[in-house]
Amino acid sequence: MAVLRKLLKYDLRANMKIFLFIWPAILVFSVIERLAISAKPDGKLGTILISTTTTIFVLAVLAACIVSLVVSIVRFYSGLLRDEGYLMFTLPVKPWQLILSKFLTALLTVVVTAAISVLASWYLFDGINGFYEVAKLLWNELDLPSGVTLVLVGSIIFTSVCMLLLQIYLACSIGHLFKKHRILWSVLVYYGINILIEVLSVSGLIGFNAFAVFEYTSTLGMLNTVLGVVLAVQVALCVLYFFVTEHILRKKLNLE
Amino acid sequence: MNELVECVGVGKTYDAVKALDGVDLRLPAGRIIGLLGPNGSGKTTLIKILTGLLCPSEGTVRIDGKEIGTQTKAIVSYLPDKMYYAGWMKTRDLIELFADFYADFRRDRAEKMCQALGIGLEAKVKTMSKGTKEKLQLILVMSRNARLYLLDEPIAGVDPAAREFILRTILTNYSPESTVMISTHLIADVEPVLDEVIFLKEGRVVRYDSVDNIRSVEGKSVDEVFREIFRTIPIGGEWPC
Repeated sequence: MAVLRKLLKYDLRANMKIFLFIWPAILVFSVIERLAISAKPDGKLGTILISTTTTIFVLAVLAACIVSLVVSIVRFYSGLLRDEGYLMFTLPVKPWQLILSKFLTALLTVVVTAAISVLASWYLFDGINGFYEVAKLLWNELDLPSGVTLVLVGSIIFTSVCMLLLQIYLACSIGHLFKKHRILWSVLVYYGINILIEVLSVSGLIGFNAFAVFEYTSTLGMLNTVLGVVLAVQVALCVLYFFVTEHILRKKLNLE
Repeated sequence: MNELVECVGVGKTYDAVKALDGVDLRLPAGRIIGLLGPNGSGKTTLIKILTGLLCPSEGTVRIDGKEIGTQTKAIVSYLPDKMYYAGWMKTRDLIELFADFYADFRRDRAEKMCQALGIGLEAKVKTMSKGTKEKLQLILVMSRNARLYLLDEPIAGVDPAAREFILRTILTNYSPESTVMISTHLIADVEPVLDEVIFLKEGRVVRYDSVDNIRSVEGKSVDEVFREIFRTIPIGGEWPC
């Protein structure tokens, strides 16, 4: 654990150099936007002001989400598979600790970026009169299912982010085994894995006659079963991606 | 156990090309050893295998009696032939990183050497010149009390003054219990500091001998012996004397 903590210190520090500017920027834009809305400016100028600040806010949130993902990929690729790898792989640490440190840092960055985006949006919408009444009405109208379903959906969103990151790591690790065009190969491997997962999912559903199960269960039961299976498959894939990446970096490392 | 490094039948194949082939070496502690050979002879591949950056295709490697892993990485100090810093780091960050991960790192020595060379602790790596980066990397590597130093082309591409600094740093910082392996093809420059030499040719060890033995038996410098072993006759015949 001590080694992992030390690795995390450097990985987090590298990411914070960027995100200590981006995260406050999102919050500042949401404050500006709320002030613009609260001021209720009249006429054409007012409309332009509100539409401009709204566009800036939405773009800032989108940019932050994209940057958090791009930085996570770059930190793994250049931090382990390019020149920096000469330092990281000669430290007295195990490859799984290096991967886990990059993964936890990336996950934390993506989750905090998402949380700040939600928080900023919440603060912004709080300034719009009647927003909560409309939201409450919609919530009641939708007749949302049980707490179990919501927990399952939340878990699936979380594991989807984990799976995305780990699938990218795996694709980069396989791509680096090629002598040339490593980035191109990484992208091809990433999409190759996607296609393989799709094919296996459809084959699995047909092979196990999964649709027959649904005939005997209620709508909510069916939904929870499907979500449970999706979650289990995603967790299994995360574990598989992690261990294959670790195996490649431990046994087939090929820094040039 | 006398040997610090033990390689038995070590081979490395890239796409059916043998970069190393049946390398058998037993290197003692307390030596400065030149790993000599032309480009493509397998020097970097052998060093990378000793650091754990590459896995051998065949054979076994042991350092201080242990297989390559975290235990050997803790006692090996490696200077690669390229810059391995992250651009965002400052000198202080790098010193802190080495101090965090290597128990044998001497922070005071690294800071003193940086100060002597005018490398500021708050200086960002990406703003440094190539020469300063190389010196900083060497300072970090040689500020460890490692058992084995692996220096891959430490003097290639640097000016004579920097070359002298590098060789002086190696000589003044290594301890008698340690072994320093210097890979180079610039033999004349490193010859005065070497105890032993390994000649690598097309992935094979063609000679492993002490410098004193080469000089006394053959009456030639290591540089002259190297030129004999690796001489290639240019198209059009020998160079006129």
